[in-house]
Amino acid sequence: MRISSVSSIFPWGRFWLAAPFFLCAVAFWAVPLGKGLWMSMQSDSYWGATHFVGLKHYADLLEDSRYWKAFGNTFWLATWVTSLTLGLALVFAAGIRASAKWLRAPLSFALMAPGLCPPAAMGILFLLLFHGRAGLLNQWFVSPLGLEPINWLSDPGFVLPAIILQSVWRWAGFMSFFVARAWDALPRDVLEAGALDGASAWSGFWRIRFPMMRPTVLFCGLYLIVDCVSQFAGSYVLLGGSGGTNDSGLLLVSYSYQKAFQGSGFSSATAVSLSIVPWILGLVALLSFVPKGILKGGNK
Amino acid sequence: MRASKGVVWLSSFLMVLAAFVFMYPFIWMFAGSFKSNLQIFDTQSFWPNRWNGEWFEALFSGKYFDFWRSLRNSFFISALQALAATFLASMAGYALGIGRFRGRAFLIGVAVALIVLPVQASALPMLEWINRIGLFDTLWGAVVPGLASGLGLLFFTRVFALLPRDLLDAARSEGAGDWRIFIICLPLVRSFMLAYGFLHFVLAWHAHVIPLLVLHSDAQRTLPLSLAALSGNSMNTPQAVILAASSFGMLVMLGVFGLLYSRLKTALSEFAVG
Repeated sequence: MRISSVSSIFPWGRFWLAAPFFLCAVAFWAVPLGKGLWMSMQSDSYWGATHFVGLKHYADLLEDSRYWKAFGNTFWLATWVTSLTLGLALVFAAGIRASAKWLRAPLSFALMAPGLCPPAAMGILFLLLFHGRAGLLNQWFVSPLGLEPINWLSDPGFVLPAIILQSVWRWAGFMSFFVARAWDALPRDVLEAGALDGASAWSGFWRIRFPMMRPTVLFCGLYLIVDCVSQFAGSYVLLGGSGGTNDSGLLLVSYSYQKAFQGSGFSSATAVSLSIVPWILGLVALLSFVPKGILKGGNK
Repeated sequence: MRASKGVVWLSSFLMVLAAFVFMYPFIWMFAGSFKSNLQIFDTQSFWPNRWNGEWFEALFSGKYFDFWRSLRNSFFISALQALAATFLASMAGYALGIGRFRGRAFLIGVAVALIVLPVQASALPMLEWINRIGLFDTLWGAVVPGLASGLGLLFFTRVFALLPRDLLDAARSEGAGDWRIFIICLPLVRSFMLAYGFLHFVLAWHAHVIPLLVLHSDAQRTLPLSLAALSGNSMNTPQAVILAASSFGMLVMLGVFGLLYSRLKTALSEFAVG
């Protein structure tokens, strides 16, 4: 402890160990980000000269109803996907642990498979599921319930749920693997002490187990939020970069893509991507206990 | 707390049902790789009419695109990026994990920022930058954007923070410097490195936006890019070829996952509560 605490001499060894990583971070993350910021303050043009316009593109976005639509969709997507996926992951983790021993490995295998599926194949797979009349969801669930078949990918009310459903399918098993590992590692004595004190299985879970697994759950949650906000694959395979009927499935990523390649130009497209930065930073500040939770232990 | 037999049976049954629902599209995908276009989009028929592997043959012989080349490109990019990212993150994770120093909180903040502002958010300036340093349309150009992984840095910071203090203190009192101690620690953190390396490999394998922008010519395409190009080509492209390629890719991924399963399991359990 004495030696490893704050040392008076500069830790050159550690400096050189950390340097390559941060060098790469600067070269291939900070530089493009800075360039992006600069680019977003230039006038739109695919070729030829541009001039400095300051925050004009951002100001335009504030009055752009499509932008707010995309923003709202992205917000609801992230909210639903994160809560549903984490909930389902907890249920799956509990279910796998309660299943017969020989079944556990194959089960977590099967549930994780969607996370390993190539995005190109997902496009075809989801046409199969969401297809207007003959899709499996309609055949298996909607029609048997006596409802009208839903046109998942063109009915404005169901485009976003289709994207949410797809994301949940993709990540729930993956996250349940992480949650189950955290569950495995819970110290026995604490749980037994809780049981002796008369905690029921339900309150034992929420009062003792869940708080102890919180670092892992938060880690998964953060990952899912970022995935929803910045990943393209999900909406792209379903809607091909468009916003769907009435923009009901328009996300910030797809809006930025549209602006870049079908409309205004790179500068305002970059402004759309970067406009999420303050929101995400705010969210992280709100969850500022996340890094502490992840990093706690050791090095006191 | 031992679950009774009934509970075990019930949850086994429910979980198998859930696993079936999750796997169903893949079973269909595998069956679909033997079908004609017409039959693929006819959702009434599940099993193919005939089980001959003509689409697999067409795929492997490169009839629609150079399959082996795309596979090699994908493998080169993902493996190199995963390997380099794992080592970079573990080195930096050692530096941040084993002790405090001034500026540590700032560097951890950088790692969080790396996670929440992924390179995809600045994909267009990234493209310009890659072009400027002469890596446009090269495989290296698709490797470098993923080298610094914030997730990896946080992961390894915790991993090294969990190492027994006595060991580090003992090594230090023997006069070992940080590089030497790091190398001594490597065997101890091997399964963590495998776990992280695998995750990074999977993510890099499926990366779409950056490779799409950076890799321009057909010869440099990764497997996902080739498949996306093929599916966007025309309605006459046999979808079964895409399904066959995807089935093949899934089998490889699941195979690697199976090999690493128990290692991943221990590594992540130790990581979660330490």
